[in-house]
Amino acid sequence: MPDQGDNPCRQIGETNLSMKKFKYLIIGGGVSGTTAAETVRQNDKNGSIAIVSEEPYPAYSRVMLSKHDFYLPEGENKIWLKTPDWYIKENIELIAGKIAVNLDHNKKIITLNGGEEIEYDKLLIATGSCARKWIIPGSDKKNIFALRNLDDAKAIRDKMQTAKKAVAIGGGFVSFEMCHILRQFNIDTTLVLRESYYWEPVLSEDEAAVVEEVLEKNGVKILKNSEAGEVIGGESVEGVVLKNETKIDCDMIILGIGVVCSLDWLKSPGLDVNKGILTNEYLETNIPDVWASGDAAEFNDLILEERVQLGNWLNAQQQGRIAGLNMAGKKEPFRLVSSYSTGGFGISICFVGDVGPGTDRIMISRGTKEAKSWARLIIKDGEIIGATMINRTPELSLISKLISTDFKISGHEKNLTDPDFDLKKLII
Amino acid sequence: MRQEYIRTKEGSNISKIIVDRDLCIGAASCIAVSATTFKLDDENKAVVMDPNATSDEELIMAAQSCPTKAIILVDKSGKQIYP
Repeated sequence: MPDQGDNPCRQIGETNLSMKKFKYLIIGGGVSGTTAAETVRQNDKNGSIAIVSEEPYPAYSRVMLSKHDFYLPEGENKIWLKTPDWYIKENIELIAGKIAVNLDHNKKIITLNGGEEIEYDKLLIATGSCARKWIIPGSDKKNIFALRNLDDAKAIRDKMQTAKKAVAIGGGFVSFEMCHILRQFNIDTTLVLRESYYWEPVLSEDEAAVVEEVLEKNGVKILKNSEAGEVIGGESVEGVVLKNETKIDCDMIILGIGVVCSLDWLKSPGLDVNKGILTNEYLETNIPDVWASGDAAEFNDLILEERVQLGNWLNAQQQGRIAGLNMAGKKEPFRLVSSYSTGGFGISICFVGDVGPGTDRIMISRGTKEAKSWARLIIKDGEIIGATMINRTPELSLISKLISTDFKISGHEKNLTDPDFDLKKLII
Repeated sequence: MRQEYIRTKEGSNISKIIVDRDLCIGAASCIAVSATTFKLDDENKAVVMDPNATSDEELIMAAQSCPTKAIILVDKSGKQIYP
């Protein structure tokens, strides 16, 4: 915890929340909610603002939790986005360590898990997503971790000091980053994949081959077409038995099996919810004075011309800004080609736009095995809507431009498949 | 290592863009917000292609989008305005 100024988290116990009222109430203290609060304050100097945050911390960079630096001594000091005195200076009340459990939109009241009720004029739901539950025999043992928040990361960091062998379950950004970190700490690492290759079907087999090669070259053992059947051990994990009866000894397990939005508390009041909270392009829900942003929002994407739910940092941060502007009285549509990029073991992985698989999409690959560099363009209705890139991040801005300008690929297919073709030539 | 880029855009209040390469993790958020200003180099670190390419507002948005606060903006009086 950064130590500058007074700790706003102390307000939890000190503030009498029995029926407080705020002009702006934000549920979620992550980057989306915090950016929204900051934007509201820039546009409304006097309106009361409160953030309800499940975690007992000021805003921090969740991205940093899967970076090597965090796991070094003093690494925790590098993650803070806001110091405690920022909330005080901006007159934003941080109600930390509390969970919203009910929304009554008719009375405009949010109920917290301690029974406290908070009235609002305008509400933003930016609750993010949580790790998918892993339920197999023995999965309740100690030292099984899903990395979603700071406490998870601290627990992983503490265990890594003594761990000798780790099993990572599932492919994805976090699994890749955590395998990198585990190996940097010289922990024997086995990656268990249910699929036939890394991150199938989001990556192409060619792209996955580049990732798998660097993982294996750096000592990560990959088991494909494999699924954990049971966790063995006493109170703590001592190993995993796969469904094919292979036994892997380990003293920690890191899960990367996806995320879900926990929206059950919102289902009763009439808020339109699918996998996320449905919003229009202004991030307004179907209920007046209620907005949603970040991982929790399933929004009308003006560029992709479809309703999407994106779980990346940039989307969350930028949607927080737009939600904040609109809560403060503006009418700004959200319009962004979002992306996320990471690096590890000397390679880069980048996703841009909508990379979700679907039967209505066709794929165009550009790259070569020799150069270990691939991009896979995802096409829907003749336009690029997203791309995955391995060692081709320099093409990110050009592909983003092709997505945002609704570039029609018809007649350009040959150029797009040529890895040496300069995409700049397609941009007018 | 800090890489500094002098900005001379007319009417701009920002005189310098600094990229802290030790902090940059190559998340590419800055590029998504301001593709005319930033790109990633061969080390997957953000570099400034053109410090005068865009408005102050877009530059501030790009800096704010960085998950590690690796982009630092300095105004004409030499005062750091972000972060």
